Amino acid sequence: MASEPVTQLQPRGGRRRAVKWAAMVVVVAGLCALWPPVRVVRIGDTAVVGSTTRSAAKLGAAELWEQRLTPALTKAVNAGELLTDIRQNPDAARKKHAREFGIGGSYYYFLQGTGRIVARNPHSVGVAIGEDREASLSIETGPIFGNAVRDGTGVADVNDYPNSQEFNALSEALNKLVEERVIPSFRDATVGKEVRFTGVAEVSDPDTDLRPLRVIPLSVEVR
Amino acid sequence: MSQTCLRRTVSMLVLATCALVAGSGGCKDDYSSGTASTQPSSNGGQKKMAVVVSTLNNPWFVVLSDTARDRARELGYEAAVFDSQNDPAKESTHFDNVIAAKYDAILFNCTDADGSVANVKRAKAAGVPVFCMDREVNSPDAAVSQVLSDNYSGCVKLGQHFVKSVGETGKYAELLGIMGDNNTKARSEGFHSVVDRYPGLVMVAQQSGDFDRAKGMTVFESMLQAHPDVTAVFCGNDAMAMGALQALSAAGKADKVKIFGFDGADDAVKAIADGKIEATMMQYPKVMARTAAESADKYIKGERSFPQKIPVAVELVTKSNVSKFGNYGKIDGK
Repeated sequence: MASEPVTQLQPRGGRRRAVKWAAMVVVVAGLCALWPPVRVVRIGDTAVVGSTTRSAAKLGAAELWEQRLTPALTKAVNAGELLTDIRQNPDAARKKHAREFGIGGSYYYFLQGTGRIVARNPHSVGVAIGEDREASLSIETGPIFGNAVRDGTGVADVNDYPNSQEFNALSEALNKLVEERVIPSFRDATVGKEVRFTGVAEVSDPDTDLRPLRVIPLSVEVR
Repeated sequence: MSQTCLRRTVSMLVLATCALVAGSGGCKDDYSSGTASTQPSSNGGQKKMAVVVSTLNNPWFVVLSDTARDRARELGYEAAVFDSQNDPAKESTHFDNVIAAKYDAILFNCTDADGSVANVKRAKAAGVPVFCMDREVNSPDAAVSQVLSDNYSGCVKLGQHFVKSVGETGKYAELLGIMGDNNTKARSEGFHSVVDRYPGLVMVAQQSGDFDRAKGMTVFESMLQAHPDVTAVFCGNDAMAMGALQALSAAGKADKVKIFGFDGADDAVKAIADGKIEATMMQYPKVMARTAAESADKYIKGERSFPQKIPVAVELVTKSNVSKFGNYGKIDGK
């Protein structure tokens, strides 16, 4: 008698395991779809990863002052060179030295130098640079307003902040730091004293704002 | 379950899984993919831009929306203006319609900085890029780009002029704009960052006039009755400044109270020239509108690198320089 062929059947446990594995793959795939471990980003897209582009926003004004602004002071243009360029050709000086922000309106000079106090005014001190006899620029003694410290030094980028309120609050905080940390050291300095300074000047109207340049001080040393 | 059937089931599950992973999550592609040449054209022919504006009840916004529309047309697009009438619900309906009609871009002036974010995100999810004009939405990446007036620093300058003009002592009132608009806060905060440094300047009243001329007039009438010795009023926009002027004229006090506005509207600029309003800040609605339309055009043609925020400077307008300004910008055409 011929023996009947024996059908090899897959054990029941193996079948169940296969279905279980398939189900797990589907679940994992679903999770990956919701929270992808890898993101493919088109070149040129902004706000890619998040943390590095938001680092300025995470720093307070004091930290920005210490970590970004203070190290950048040495990069300011020499005031004598700047004033010479402005007197020769204001438009060329703007192209060469100015920092501009957004569309239209003000531009900023980030400058440093040494000069002599030649005048004292209620809200500023007149400083002559080089061979000038009259004030080449005036250094503000407060109160400090506007965005020159924030925008003229480039310590923060508007695109790092979630909204304009926070970006504006930074300006106010930086201005207060100027009033607290910088101005007291020279507010009472007398005519004739030499000052070494770094600061930012905002130019809104070239007809009135270039002579003299109004400088918000970021560091001042009276000698 | 037979072996064949089981294998087939598992294979299909695996294939479905692969399709799921490939089709989502792995790619950040929130707008239509590919270059402009593969962008789906809304009607098989000319592309379209929608201008969704907060209100047409204020001539400044009419200039903003008309300029955006006209620039889009100059660039070769069909363009239509949708008026939200300062109503977030109407704005949402406009977005529904614009998305359904497959517009290729939205030039957007929102009704509410927070409330409008959902609309922008819906458009983004539907592959319609949004470019904000003048008013900010509080999201760092919902819109492709936001072209905004620098309201805060504008009002810092206005505040400095206020102190110079009014003096360091006196009583003043403030008319605020729409409370959900970031511009309202930015202008008020910029102004107060200066004026509050002078303790002799006392704000006796502050209330919203909703950026509306008629409401501004009514609100200021009440303020005048409660504080007849007020010597100045800061208004969050020129429409309210004109309303305040009306209230003062009716009370016979137009020459006793200095009025400060914001926008650079034609009637306010003329009132400055006539000595009836002290100062305003010129915004440049035409610059913002053109920039938004041109950015949208670049996007549709394939560019993807845009700064999230583009600030546009505002300028102080007073009697001494008013001759340089008019027609919602500078006379020389800016």
